[in-house]
Amino acid sequence: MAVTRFCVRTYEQDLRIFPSLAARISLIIFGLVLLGLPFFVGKYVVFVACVCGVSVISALGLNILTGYTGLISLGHAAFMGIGAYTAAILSSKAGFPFVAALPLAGLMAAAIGAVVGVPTLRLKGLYLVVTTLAFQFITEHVIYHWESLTLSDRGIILPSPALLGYKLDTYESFYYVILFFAVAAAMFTKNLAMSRTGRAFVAVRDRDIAAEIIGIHLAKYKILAFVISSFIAGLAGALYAYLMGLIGPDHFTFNQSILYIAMIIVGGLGTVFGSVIGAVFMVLLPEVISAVTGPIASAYPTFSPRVGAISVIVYGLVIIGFLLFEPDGLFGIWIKIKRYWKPWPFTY
Amino acid sequence: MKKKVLRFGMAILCILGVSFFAMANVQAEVGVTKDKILFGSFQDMSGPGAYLGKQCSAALAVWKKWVNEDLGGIHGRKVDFVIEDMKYDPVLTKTAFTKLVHQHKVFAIITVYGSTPCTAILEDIKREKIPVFTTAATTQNMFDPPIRYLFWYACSDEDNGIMMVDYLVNDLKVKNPKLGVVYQDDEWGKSALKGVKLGAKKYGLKVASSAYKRGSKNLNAQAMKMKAKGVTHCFYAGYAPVYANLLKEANKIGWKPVFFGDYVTVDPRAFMAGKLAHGHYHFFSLGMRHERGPGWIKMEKLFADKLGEETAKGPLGWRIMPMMWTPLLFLTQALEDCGRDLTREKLVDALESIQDFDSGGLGKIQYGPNIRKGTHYYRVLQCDAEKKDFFPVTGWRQPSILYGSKERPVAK
Repeated sequence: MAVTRFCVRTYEQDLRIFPSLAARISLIIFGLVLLGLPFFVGKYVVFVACVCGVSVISALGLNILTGYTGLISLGHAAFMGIGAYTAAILSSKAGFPFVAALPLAGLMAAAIGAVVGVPTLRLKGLYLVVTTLAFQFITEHVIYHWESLTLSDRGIILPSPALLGYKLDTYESFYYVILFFAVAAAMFTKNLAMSRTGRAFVAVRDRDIAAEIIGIHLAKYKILAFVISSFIAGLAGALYAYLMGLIGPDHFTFNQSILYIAMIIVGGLGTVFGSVIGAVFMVLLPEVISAVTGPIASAYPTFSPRVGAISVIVYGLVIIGFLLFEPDGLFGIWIKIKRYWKPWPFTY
Repeated sequence: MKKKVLRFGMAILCILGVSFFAMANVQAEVGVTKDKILFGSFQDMSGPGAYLGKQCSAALAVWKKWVNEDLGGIHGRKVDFVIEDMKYDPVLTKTAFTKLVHQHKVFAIITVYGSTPCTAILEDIKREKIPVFTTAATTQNMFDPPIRYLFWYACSDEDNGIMMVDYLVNDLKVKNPKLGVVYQDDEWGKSALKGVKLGAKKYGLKVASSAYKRGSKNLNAQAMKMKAKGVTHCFYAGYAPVYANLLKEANKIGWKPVFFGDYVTVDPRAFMAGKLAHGHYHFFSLGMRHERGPGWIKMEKLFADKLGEETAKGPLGWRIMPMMWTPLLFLTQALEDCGRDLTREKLVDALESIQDFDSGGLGKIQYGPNIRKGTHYYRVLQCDAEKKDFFPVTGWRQPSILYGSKERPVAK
């Protein structure tokens, strides 16, 4: 019998990732749409889909740290940058293939994540935020000034990625790689959240002293959250670098870190669905605004700065609106919709 | 009977095949229809460079009106353009580029700027083979090594830096000058330092340098450092208000070198320092408004009609307006040279082949085979604080050193 999460009867049912038949069918249809996307849309839409995919992976990584474990990080873009530069340097200077550069990028970010995670043993709240902020600025500074390695403003050009001798030099082909990793990251996060480790993360987030009393090793789980989060961020950074073909210091700035925080807040903290939909929403929002304001700016160029300012205001208002009226984010809205339709056609 | 049918079928196939190839051959270039040429541009409309976006958008609007109404189009085609907002962000620039190329299907991309945004799409420009005319980014990779489809038109701080030392040694004939460079700590500033060092090396001189963070407003520490090093001739690369602050700080601590400002300091805001700005030197690749060249008069009129007298004669007109307008005039000439059968490749060839283009005193612009650096000539200007203007003290000249990652051909 198909069940929903609202009426589970056994632990086995509760542990299922997709508990209802409807959810499984919807997922299959959604998967087919994603697989067929490059065949029905233009290059531009595929490129935007790739950016969405990378953002989803990165947002999932941040959600493990911030959403599940409650450790707020303003240095997420820095971890992405470390992954991106590791992949770029390994592939362009040392000739590493895509399949080798990608995991190494994740590992490098994870190793640095472990180091950055150490202060979290003594810091939390705003103090941790400031620490990660400092890490963000240090990373930006190093990327900018270690010119012999990073080429500073000139950026590093990456070779086209190849998989099993097949060159992934089009957005369409690389889209499937990103899609694979996005699905893998979502599955991993979902499973992690339902595992002992994930539940320990949540316990640390909700009350760390209580978690320690019930036997959760705080140091281990806090650092582990940093390591996993930064590994995923590093992986996303590497994919991003291959997608862009060229990376520079301005790709991984503080603003990007803020953007990822906004993604998980708008989507819904501590949920996989929230990370996915939040990332997609935040990537598509400027595109939607641009689709409306672009023709106006082209038709009346002298008004273009005002049009641009309006787009920024709309962007900001949307985020403020979510924080004020729907703190659970898009995930919260989704749950409300589901609950509304669940007893349909009855009112309650 | 069967043979007849077969022959008939073969003939039809041949006709269809030939027609297909013939149609393919007469099919117009992307973005070009029988009555319109569609251009694209990405501008910062809401980011840190929004002031530039406004000016570039205005220049494009003026150009469109001028070509379509005054010239009656180009070979019977009107020009049109699409602008995408890139917020001075590399990812959004790449998105905007992809949208312009694949969704709007523009013929070429025109009037763009910014090292970070333009660097982000270098590889895409090569891959898509779409002309980008012109970029005003400061980094050397915009023109060296040259990319067939990317044309650069701005001032180079490397050139300015070399010219400073050339001018000191050959014109001012200063004996044993102590050179200094105060520069913004980014690629722009670093290129200035590189230029001065190249010049200094040629003449056997040493250079002291002091960087400041982008966004700094006070250069007290830099002035102190330069004074301590005994710098007598100081090159400055950065924005004019910060330059004015450097002059004030230098005056405060009693350090009185001769300053050489790069092209960005040729800006009315340099006079925020009052009389302290007087007599110092600047490098510039464009004509000056007070010279009243015919190109200037015409440009001012066109911009005034579109944007109003005040805007056209304000700071916009000082540097940005000719920097954007001169390449658009050049592009118009190249489009006319291509004839009715317009293709991207033809446009690139036409842009390469125009020699001795007369901009009417706006500034020199020239490309050539494998030359994608459009600015080669500069003049040394001297600041007159009383008249609040800059006046040339030399003719047009090139820096004495050809720098670059490989031997680059230069325009004559």
